[in-house]
Amino acid sequence: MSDSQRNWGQNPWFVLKVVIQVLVVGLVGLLFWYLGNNISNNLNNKNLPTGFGFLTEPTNFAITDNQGFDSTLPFWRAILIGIQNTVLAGLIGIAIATVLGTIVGIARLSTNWLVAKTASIFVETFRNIPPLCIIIFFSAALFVSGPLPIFSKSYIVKLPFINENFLLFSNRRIAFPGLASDGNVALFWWLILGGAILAIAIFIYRTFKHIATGASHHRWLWSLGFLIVFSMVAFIIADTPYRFSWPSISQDGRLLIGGFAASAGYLSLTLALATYTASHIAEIVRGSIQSIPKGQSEAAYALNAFQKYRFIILPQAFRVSIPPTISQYLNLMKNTSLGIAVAYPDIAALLLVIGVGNKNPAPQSILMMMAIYLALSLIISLVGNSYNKLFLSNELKKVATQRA
Amino acid sequence: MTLTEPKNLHSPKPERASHAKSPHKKTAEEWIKANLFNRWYNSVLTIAFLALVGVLAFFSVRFLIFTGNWEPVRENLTLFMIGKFPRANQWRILLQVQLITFSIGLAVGIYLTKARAAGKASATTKNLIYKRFWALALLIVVLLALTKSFLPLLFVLAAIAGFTISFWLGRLTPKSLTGLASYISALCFIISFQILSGTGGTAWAFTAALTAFSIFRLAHKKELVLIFRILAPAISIAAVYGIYQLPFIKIEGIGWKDWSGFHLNLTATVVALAIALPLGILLALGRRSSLPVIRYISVGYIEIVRGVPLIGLLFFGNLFLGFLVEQPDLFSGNDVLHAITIPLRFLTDKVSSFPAIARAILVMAVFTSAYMAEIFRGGFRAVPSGQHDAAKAVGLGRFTSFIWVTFPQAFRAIIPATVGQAISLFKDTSLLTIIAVTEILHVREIVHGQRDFMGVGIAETLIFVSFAFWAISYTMSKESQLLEAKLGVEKR
Repeated sequence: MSDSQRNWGQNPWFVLKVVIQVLVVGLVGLLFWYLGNNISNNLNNKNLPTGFGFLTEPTNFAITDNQGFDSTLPFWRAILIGIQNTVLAGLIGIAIATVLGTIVGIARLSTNWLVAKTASIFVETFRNIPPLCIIIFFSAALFVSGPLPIFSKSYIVKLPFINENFLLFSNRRIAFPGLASDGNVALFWWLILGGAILAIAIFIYRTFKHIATGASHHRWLWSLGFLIVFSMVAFIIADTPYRFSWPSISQDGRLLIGGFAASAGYLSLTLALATYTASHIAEIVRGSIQSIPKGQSEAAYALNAFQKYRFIILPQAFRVSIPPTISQYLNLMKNTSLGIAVAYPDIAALLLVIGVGNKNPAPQSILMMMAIYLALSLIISLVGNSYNKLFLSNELKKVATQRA
Repeated sequence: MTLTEPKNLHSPKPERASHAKSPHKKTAEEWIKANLFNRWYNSVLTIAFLALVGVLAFFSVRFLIFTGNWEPVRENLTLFMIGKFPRANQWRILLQVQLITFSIGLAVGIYLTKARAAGKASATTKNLIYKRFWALALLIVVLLALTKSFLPLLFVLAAIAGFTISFWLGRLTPKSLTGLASYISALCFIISFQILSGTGGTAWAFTAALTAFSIFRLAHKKELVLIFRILAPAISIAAVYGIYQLPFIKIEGIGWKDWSGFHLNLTATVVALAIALPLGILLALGRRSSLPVIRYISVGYIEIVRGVPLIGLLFFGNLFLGFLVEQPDLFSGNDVLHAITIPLRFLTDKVSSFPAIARAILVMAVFTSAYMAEIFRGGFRAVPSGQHDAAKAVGLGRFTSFIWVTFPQAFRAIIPATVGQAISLFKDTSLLTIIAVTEILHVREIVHGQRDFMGVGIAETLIFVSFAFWAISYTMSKESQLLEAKLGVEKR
């Protein structure tokens, strides 16, 4: 900073710095200009479009597991489906990985030798195998070596007393009981979104009220209770948008009707990534629990084991574990691109394999894929970091008000 | 987005309260009572887990030893290991392995002598070595069990003999020759890769850099006149260049495109890391630079590369790079533009002649360099600012204080994180299969394309491949944890 305040003539270093930077900018500019020229020339030579006009042209291909998608629809609709698939695999994977990882991480610290050893074998196995191998393993174990295309009776699970299928298993899909949509779905979800924002506002309001008055906040009770009641009302307002539906097999025994049918690619990708990431999260959980000073747990001797963990150890360990866990979430989100290996139509597969295979220009497709992943990463780290900040500042405020 | 800083989260072993150091050794009964049935809920858990683990163990052992069909692996073991590497050139890989074991043995021997002399080394018992390297030993045993001839066994025995000899050579090296011995060890490692790539092109640069560095250190130690400290490395670089031009030194290389199989996974990791390390240091320095332009360029590079999945970058190298660098006759009409872009043309012509594997390895290096930059940044930040002030007070300049004060301390702090990155890079080499590079996972697909093994032993081959990855990653991660614990102890 001090350099910029000095006179140009008095400080030769400052002049040198400016010259260097101008040179670097010039060189990088030249490089980009040259490469850009190359791209447009090469695209022209190969008779490919140079702009992004291909986004609005019909795709001429169908997407697996999206019967609603028509090959006459424009390509940007396909991209939206790709984003939806990526986010679906990523978010469900994150949820499973968090729960599984936390359980395994705590199990590794168990005083029971067998439990601790089993957990550590789980961690050491899945942590050191490439995720791609795990994905292929799940796909092979669940589907390739599983039952044949036509549904076999032995793989249908029925509930007692109800003559409905609980689980249907074929070599392409597993079907669970699910929700069938009819009525006003869009209105329902807009209402839910509004309700969620209100719930967050209530959460923050209760927290501030607690800081101001010292009364117990019950913020989770208030906000979640509000959200549940609100969604019930929204369900009625939107004229029952969802019905419960059991999976069943069509007359000719070849198609699945109703329920929620998860495809082979989706299931193997999500389960594999969840297992892989869970083994990493388990290490984070264990490390952060161990990082809590021993004095804390000794001071909590008066409490029982549950209270000790719930009120003393876990809240502190949780704060330590947030940053590395967010980085694992980011990794999981990026690893969903491995869905290419099991033909899951995520954004990378749609743009790079199916899209480029259908004569879309590769450079634009790759740039779009990079932009979409960057945006996803930014959103996750933004949400994670702001949560971290909010959480930490809340804790700090509490400490501050208690001392005051 | 500064999330991945090297953090000491993994202590080497989970401490369990029940493992309190008791004065007398526990009998089996006491141990079982203390560790399995100390509470009522632990008893329930023990019985449940015993049933679960028992069933799992029964089925996996039955599968692995009795019912599994290992014929696809047994028949194609060479294919899995070296893929389509030209069989006439197999001696290169054999020689490479021998050279690497020799180099590692020498390095370990020298290190142990040094550590013993400094009184730092804890007694390395045979038990500890077994605990540290059992996974690697298991991999070798499994590979030998799957072979059909006894030649690989002889080869492994030769490698073990070479390791032992070089280890004792390292142990017995007098103190005055340790520098030379370390130089030879590093040289063997570099040469072992030049046996693959050939001595043409820029291969001499790696040897020259190593030689110049060693001579620079020697000159510094002997406190030679400044002019010699600068001249000696320069002369050595010229000498190495001259040596590499000698006709009987020259060996033709095996093209990148012929590297494949598990050998490719390992080589790609080393080569990509060798490129990524210096690039990462430069990027980390760029991020700390006081020049805003350089800082923004580094930050942009690091964040963009870290935000994109490796698959995307691999496709970039496969599909995009061609559009970038293959250039039709662009500026033939305009003399000025033609002259300006000549260096760029040279660069892009070089890149466009790269085979797919070389591009893929370069992309992996680019990918890893962004992560390495973040690790280095964390390492630089971990050096207390007092060190920098002290260096300034002694009268060292910015450059000298970086080379002799900041960098060595930062480097020591980042070794565990770097090993972690190397493991993740090694695991990521499996992604090369998606762009149809024949690494080990892709060999598996080739094997199942064979007439005899179509749909046969799918699980077995996958388990074999995963095990090969697992054994090496597991050993490396254990070593890095040990190293971390050691460095942590030294810090206190």
